[in-house]
Amino acid sequence: MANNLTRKTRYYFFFGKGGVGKTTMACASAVYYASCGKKTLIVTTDPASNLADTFEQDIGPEIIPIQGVPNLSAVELDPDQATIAYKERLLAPLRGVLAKESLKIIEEQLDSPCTAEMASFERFVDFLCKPDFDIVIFDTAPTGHTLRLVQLPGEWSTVIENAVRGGHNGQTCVGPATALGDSKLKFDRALEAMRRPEETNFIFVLRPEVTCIYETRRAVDELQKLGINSQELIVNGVYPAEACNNPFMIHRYACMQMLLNEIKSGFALPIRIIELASGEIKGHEALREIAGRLYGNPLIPNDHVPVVPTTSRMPEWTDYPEVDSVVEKLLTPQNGQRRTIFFAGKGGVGKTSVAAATSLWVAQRGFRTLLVTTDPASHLTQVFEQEITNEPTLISGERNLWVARIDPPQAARKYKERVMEEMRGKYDLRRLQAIEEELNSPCTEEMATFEEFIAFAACYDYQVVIFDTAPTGHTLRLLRLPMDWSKQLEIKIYTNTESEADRATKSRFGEVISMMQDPAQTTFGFVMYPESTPIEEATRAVNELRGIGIEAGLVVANLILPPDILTNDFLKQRWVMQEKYLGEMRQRFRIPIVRSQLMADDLIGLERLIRAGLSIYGT
Amino acid sequence: MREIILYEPTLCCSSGVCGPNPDQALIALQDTIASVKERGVVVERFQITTHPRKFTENADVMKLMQQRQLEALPITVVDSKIIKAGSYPSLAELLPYL
Repeated sequence: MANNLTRKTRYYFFFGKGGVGKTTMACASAVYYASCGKKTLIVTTDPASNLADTFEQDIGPEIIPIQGVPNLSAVELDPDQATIAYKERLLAPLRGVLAKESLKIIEEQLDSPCTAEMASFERFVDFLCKPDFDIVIFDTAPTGHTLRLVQLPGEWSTVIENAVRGGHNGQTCVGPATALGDSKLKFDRALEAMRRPEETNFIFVLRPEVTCIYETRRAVDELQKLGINSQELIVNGVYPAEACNNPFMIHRYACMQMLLNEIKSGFALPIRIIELASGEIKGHEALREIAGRLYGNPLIPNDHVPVVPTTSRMPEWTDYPEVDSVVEKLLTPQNGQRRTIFFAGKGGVGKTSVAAATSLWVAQRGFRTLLVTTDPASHLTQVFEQEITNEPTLISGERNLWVARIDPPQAARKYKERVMEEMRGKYDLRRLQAIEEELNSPCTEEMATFEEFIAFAACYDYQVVIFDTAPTGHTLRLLRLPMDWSKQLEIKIYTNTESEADRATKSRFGEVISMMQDPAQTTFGFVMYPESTPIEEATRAVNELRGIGIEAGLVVANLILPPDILTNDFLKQRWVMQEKYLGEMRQRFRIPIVRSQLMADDLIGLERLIRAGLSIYGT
Repeated sequence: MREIILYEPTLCCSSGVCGPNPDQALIALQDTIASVKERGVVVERFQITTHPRKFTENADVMKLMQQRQLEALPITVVDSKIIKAGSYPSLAELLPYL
């Protein structure tokens, strides 16, 4: 009715593995709603956000208008910034009462994983109550991490409820229950809003790839279990038919069409399809074009990138002669010491495939090799076509390759059982129940995951250990934990309860940290495809690693077009773009770069993985 | 005795079981708290990093902290009177106040 003045905000959550074009789709949607006259806010909760790159404008922790797009504002929830603000709020009342040294100690104590989790979560929920916008779009963190974030409102309000009922003496990991009264209401409202289809839509962005479809399926199901049913799909990066005029591309095209059909029949959800562009999508004009294609209302006519002259130089594979001589040194044990390899990079750049291919390449050279994923949304089971669990499993048909995954909920269960086992016999039943409830806090999962990571990182049963790590931002925070946990242990020392076990844990952490910092033992490989956003993200990650005393050692440039398939202008334009960014990568990182070619088929199964390994690292 | 307030240093969780190794001293404290609660006593716990304002609201606690800084923690207050500082009270230490 005309006199209905209550303006309801609509929320859109963009889901998807990093690198599928989630940010681009979220930004294009934001541009679309803003151009329809709706007051729109785009929020990123991704620790490795690239909102600023996409809009070509600085975006910070405060809401700011996007230049040149009326009605559109943006904000970036940097977990580190959120943590600083949260810490300051807690410390303010103590300033002037406590001595500088004491304040410093307290400030360091606040550097715990709990504080970081708490701070970014609080800010996330804050943006679910924004009545001054018609539309709020969340460009969320990659799938696994996002799921946990969204699951938190449910989990945490249970934790708080138990605490209020006196389940465990009025405390939770996030502080005494009394302080959480207001937050609980907010958390409950957040989950309620997410469940109402008239308020919230979840949009899953995916590429027509087997692993991507699998991960989307998982995310869709998990959200439906939480009562969130208003879902849509955007399938991004489909090759245009006219670009596929050679046998290699025709094969890829046919595979993609098959997968598209699978998506259409497999998910009973509305689907939008976006074709791969020959160039990059950056800046307002490109976003407006995508918005037009997404919502069927072309805002501007499709413009075409100028055709590259056919005289373009073809790729030369002898560009990087230094690589062959160093690959061996970077990937295999030197001086009898175990080699540890970390693959970092934005999710979706093919990190898992590269890690799998690398592990086979190393194992086939006769080294006892272990591949571990710390990515909660891992798909190693699909890649190896074999069940992968949290215990190292020998890959069938291989003599030297074991694979394991760290599954956070499972790790948490194991951790809980272990703690409870230690407690049994020492305490009565009531006390045991209280401890068990305490262990249901979300912090336990983080902790348990981290313990398993440390256990693998400190395991010397293998000659080579390869980590297919979680997406960039999350990885960095995981890697930073050892430092934080040493501090956490110091707190216990200062409460005079340091035990033999504490000292052992601390020395184990120290060992893992120095191992990661020693290039003679450890190689940090960054996987990226040669495009602007992945390079920017990797640069930030490399600098952050440097800040904790770790140097990147190798770049894997993935999805490189093979030189013999450049049979049309679309492919040539993409090739020119790749060459430009390969040059940029060389300039930027100044470390060995290996090329991993685009394959005709998805990297599934040993045969293809072995072939890929040989093509990346040579024979 | 009607009320016990504990002013505590930073802990990840009240029982300490959330940390890398379970903390025996804190688990013992949980037992003590459960026992006095059974006798109808209200127990509140505040950590310096989660409830700094609760600390500043209590002048006695602040005074003690100004003197002994963080070493004063944990501070046990029974019915508005500080009865122990620097470590957690045992059940035996609390019983005389019951």
